[in-house]
Amino acid sequence: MKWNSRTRCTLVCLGFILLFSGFSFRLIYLQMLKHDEYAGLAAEKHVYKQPIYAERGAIFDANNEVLAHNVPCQTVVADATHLNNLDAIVDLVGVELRIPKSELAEKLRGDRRYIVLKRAVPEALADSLREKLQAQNLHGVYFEHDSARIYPNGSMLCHVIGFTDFEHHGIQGVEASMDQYLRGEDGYRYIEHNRAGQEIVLYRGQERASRNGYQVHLTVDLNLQNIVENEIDAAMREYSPKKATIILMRPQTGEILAMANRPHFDLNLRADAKPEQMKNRAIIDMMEPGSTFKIVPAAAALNEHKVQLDTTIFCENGLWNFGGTALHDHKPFTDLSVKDILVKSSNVGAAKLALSVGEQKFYEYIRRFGFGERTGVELPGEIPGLIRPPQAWSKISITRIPMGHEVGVTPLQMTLAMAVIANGGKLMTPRIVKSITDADGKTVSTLSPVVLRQVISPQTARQIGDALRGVVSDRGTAAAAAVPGFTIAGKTGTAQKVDPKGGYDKDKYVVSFSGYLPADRPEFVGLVVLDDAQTSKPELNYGGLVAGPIFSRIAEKAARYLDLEPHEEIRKALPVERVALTNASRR
Amino acid sequence: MGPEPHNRMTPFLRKLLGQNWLLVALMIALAVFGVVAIYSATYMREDPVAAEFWHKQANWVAVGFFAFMITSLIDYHWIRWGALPMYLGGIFFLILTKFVGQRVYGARSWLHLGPINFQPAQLAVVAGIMVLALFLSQFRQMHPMLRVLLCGAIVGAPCLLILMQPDLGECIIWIPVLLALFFVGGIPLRYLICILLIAAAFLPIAYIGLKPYQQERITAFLHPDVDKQGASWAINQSLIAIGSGGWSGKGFKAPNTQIELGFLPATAVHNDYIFSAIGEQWGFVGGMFLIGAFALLLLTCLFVAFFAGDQFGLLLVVGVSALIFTHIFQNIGMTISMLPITGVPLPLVSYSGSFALMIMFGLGIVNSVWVHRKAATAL
Repeated sequence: MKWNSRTRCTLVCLGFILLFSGFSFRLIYLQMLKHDEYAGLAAEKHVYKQPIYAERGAIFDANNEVLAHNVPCQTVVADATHLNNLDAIVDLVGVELRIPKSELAEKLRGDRRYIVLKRAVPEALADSLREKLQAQNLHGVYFEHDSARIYPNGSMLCHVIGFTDFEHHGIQGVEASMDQYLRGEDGYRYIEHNRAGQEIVLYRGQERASRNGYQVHLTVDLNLQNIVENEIDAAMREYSPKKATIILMRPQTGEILAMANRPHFDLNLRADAKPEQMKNRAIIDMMEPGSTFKIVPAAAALNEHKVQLDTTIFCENGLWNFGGTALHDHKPFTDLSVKDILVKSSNVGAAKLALSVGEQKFYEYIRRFGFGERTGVELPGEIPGLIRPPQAWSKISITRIPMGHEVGVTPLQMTLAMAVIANGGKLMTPRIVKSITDADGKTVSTLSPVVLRQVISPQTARQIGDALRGVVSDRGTAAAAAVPGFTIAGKTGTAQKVDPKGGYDKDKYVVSFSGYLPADRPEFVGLVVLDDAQTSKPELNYGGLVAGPIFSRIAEKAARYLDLEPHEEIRKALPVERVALTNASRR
Repeated sequence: MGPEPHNRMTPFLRKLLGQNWLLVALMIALAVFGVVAIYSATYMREDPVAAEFWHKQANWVAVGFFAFMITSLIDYHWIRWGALPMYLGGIFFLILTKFVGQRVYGARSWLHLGPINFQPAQLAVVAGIMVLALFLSQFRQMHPMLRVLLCGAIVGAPCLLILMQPDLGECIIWIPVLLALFFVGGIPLRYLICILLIAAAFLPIAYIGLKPYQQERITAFLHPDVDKQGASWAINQSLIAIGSGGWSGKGFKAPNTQIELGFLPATAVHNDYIFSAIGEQWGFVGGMFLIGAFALLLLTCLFVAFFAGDQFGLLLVVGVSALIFTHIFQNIGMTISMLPITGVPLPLVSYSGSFALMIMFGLGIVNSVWVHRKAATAL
């Protein structure tokens, strides 16, 4: 038995040796054969690519007023698996970041691991929170570098400037269209670190510096924008239209000087904005322009030498049966010169002018004025509008399109068409971006004016301009648009709103006025559009009476701001009510 | 431990000089190396608790060496009087732990008695070896089946309590120890084979009974690539540390090691993963020296067993050897991914507080068997 025990003892011993030999082979395998692989893994573990964040470029107006810039801040996040004392963290973070405790606790108890607690936390607050967390030995809350996009002017110019998402990609306005310039390039550096994330200063690998985003300078002048915003607000108060748009543009260059829409929103509170408020209606809303469009048939007929400015056209006493349908004028006219067709805004006259050039030619002129195609302004989401080719026209289209029906145009297109008249017949590409500079202010690119095409001869443009002066006279439809001390050229528009159910809605109008000043050497062209304005009496809801005076006030203030010299004896604009009486029901 | 034996006391000096010096030397070498290894795994840590680890281990080693010397000089036959009380005490402490023990990493396995923290499971296993050795040597004529069943009962009580903590690692320790004692204690081989087959049949059922994290560990062991950031994190980091150590290692306190950079779990690098630190810093050579030293220690123990004066002494030594071997095997096997992860300390080397004392006490018994082998023969 004893011998047996000793033998077994030796066997146990052999067993031990055998099993230990297993270790040896395993270690040979790990430390010899696979040494290179593991050494590689060990080295790789320590190197960490740390991003160096680029700062998004700022946006300025024409006078270098800041429209959008960045403020460094922190995003506070939590890693749910690292939280060591949930209750204490909820208490501390809730108080510091002003998050209701129940909401915070619910967030942290959710099944997500990476939880964003609050964005855009100021640096100072983040620092103090970090210290307090450390002092109480609480883990699991982390801070990520971020920057908050700040728009110092709030709601002003909101549709043009646009905004960015949380990842700092522009998603609206210039922020979106100029994103590739604004966003810059993040750099990186390779650093060695340990598990705790502490940098080992001993070694630094390659590194690439970040390039901050370029700065975008807009053509918009905040002073003019301010004038426009004030007037559009006043118009909203007075007429409470559903929508409103005002555009100011420099006709010679296509530079947009001001652009405002209602409804609007505050860029700094964009999270609360409704989709309706965020639309830049100047470029994405399609409207029937109404009589403002009459400059197109008139220009076409003149440019094709079918008529002269003083050629008289019989206007059928205000009722013309064409193609089996009656075409009305708002007032019976007999013989009107081409000029007076614009001044008095005769539908019959405009239809006859279009007929004189023929369907195909008329269509070409519409397209040459820029309707039916995107203007190419540096703003996202622009629509081309809707101009049907003659093949798709009905028999009476040739008489309805001249008065601005059956076509869909954007307010910006309408402004551009007016600018063609103001600019000697040249159609410009509209511009909202003046130049792009790098972060140090060095110019990267300057955008020069682009002439898209010569739409009509300078002479035709001048002739139409003459006629449009008449519109803003006591004889015209927009006497109320006059500005003391300046001659103004312009055209009113009053279009019945298209009923979604078909046909036109009798009580709803889109009223507009488009004009420029001074008439002989235009400094700016402007457009005022009010959609479904509410007036005390329906007969007052006309472009000349509603949009005209708004344009007048804007033009007067703008002229003063631009320091334009008045060259006529200053006379008082007729009060609206009197104009209404004398020109009742003129469109 | 009983009172000092007066009647059969050999001259003190003869006992002192008659020790197994190889055993003593190996034990001291391993313990000192352990302190150095713990230092090398924690010197970079800033928290004051971690900085104290090597210091505390040195204290435990000193206390353990004192216990070793005392035990060595006491005739191991007196242990038979202490075995049962110690075993019952172990069970008492295990039950106590259930109610007042401190929860560490999910398991309630530590007991705080004044300034001393210890795991009653470790006390129980050493006491269990003593009781088993006593039983198997005393009832040699009993029917093997009955002996197996009674041994199972002796082991079963503390094992169940440990399993309930839950500490599977400490429970598994018992199995090789018991098998080694059965084997050497003269249980016929056919019984042992039967036991092994039955145990194998129950393995799948046991797997179902495991806690989710325990199943996860087995999955992580079988498929280390599955969840690299989660369950397999530690084992992959351990392999990278050991593998990148290569032939001669990166050197003691070398900069930018996985250990220094803190890639290994900070809670375990100085105890359960100490071999990873050793493998990385001292490489294959260091690892082999360590395993060689352990092998030599175990050989010395079995050499002592071989020349033990009686069956009781032999079984005591075999039990202690099996205990030490199982710890080494589980611990190192885990760090080099030969076995699933179980939190078992590396004897003498890893930071484990009272465990160093227990192991040195066990080795003291081994030494005592050596010192008193002639006395036993005379008995």
